[in-house]
Amino acid sequence: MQQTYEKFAAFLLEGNHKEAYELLQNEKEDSLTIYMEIVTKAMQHIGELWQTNQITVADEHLATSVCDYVLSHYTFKHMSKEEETAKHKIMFLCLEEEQHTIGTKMAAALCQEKNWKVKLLGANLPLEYVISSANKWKPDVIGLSAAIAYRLPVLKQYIETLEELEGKPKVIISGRLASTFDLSNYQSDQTFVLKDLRSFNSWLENYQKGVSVNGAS
Amino acid sequence: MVQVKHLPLPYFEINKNYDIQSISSITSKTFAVGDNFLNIVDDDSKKKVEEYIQPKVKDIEMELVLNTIEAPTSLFNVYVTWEGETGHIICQPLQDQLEKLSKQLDDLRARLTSSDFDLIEKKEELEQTLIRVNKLSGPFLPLSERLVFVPLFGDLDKHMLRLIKPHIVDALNQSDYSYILFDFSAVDVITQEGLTELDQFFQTIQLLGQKTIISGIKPAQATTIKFSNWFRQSIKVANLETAINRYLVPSKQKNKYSS
Ligand code: B12
Repeated sequence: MQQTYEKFAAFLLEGNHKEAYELLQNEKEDSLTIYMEIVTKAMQHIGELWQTNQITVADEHLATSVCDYVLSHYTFKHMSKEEETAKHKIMFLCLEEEQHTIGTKMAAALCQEKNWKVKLLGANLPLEYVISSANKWKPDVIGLSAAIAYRLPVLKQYIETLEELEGKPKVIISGRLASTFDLSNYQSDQTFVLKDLRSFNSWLENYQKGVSVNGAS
Repeated sequence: MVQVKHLPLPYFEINKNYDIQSISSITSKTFAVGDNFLNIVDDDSKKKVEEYIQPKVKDIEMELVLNTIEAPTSLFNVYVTWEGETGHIICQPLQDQLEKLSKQLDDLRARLTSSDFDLIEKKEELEQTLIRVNKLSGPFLPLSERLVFVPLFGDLDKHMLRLIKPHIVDALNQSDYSYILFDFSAVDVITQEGLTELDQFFQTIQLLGQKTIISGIKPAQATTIKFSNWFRQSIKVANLETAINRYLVPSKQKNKYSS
């Protein structure tokens, strides 16, 4: 039988944003499960279709654009509407020359549901830009995403620089690199390597608890 | 193979272990060519090569990510044919094309993320309301055993007519009225497509055996519709009052109802 994520992937590849959105909207699960079990799996399935020579990278491009749009619509419905009272700030970005954005988009959506203040800087962010943006906005946490293997050396440079920022933000490393390579070397009491959204979700819950117990970030 | 040297695209001749036997001269300008074809293949494309580039797969076209001198992950369309255990590979660069597409999609994405989902949802709600309003714009009102009254409201376009038609035809099917009276007094515009739709609509009714009566057509409307079949084949009455007097009220009671 066709799995739900395969159905979703087929809608994305057809460019059928309406059906794709309705599929997510009619799902009874919470959004974390939807992001993990439908969206992420559908994107991986699309990667599989490329591997087996059934689609091209151009198809992947179009499918991701539709996915991006559908996610925007979906998260708009689910985000917390009380931003004024948001306590914590988190900023997301993809490394320079990194265009795999769907992960950060969903991570940002999770935070919005939990009533964080969120800035989603998007794809291909040069380090200087990240620094100036962080100095202005002063996030408590910065989430990085990387998918392409040859970006590993750059990742190290990002972490070292961001850890030194004023206010010492926590740094989260995730994306396909974190799930396919052992990045435990990068881990410290300021930097956390998380392999997927589920572990990010637990991390967020602990962080929120920690902050309210200590009264400091 | 002297000719191969001058091919305008990167070309590799390989054996079944991917050992490189010869290349075109442009090949070494594009790739840091070693002994083995796999050396220039991105790690995440290697499985694809092993699966599809082998003597068993006679000829194939596919995309691969290859390491070029300029970039570690460049996209190519790769064509492969085999002669026994000798493979011929031609690599057509796609990266530039892809970048263009990528740029266009980014612009589109930027526009879409700023789209206002509140507005989109309001629009969808409005569309639903419009459908409801349209359905209500042709109510089916039995006035007596022989006469049904359908006052029409608003603009008559094909959408509106298609919405009211099914429930009127259904109701007529389950009854035996002799006359169906359409009153146009509250109709504003009749579109061209609306006229065509009316033709079919009236034809259906007439096939069901009912006579159509039309009242309340404005002189301005009359000029555009007077040649339409539905209009010519209907009984025309100047206004609603006359229509009701004539078709609802049996002759002896007339005085009681007219005012
Ligand atoms: C879709 C896709 C694209 C899209 C991306 C569009 C977009 N806006 O995202 C497009 C078509 C643009 C693209 C382009 C390219 N891609 Co691509 N792409 C993919 C594909 C098929 C799916 C990726 C995806 O969206 N996955 C779904 C997401 C949700 O999963 P995820 O990123 O792993 O995230 C999970 C976690 O990591 C976490 N997460 C992610 N980020 C973050 C961040 C934070 C803070 C947190 C908390 C969590 C988190 O959330 C998710 C759920 O747990 C993969 C194949 C694959 N199997 O991954 C190839 C793949 C990643 N791409 C690849 C390549 C090579 C490319 C290109 C170089 C191709 C080319 N020559 O142009 C370019 C590179 C562009 C660039 N410079 O970045 C390779 C990478 C190979 C390598 N050596 O590393 C892959 C593996 C395909 C392959 N087999 O060759 N790609």
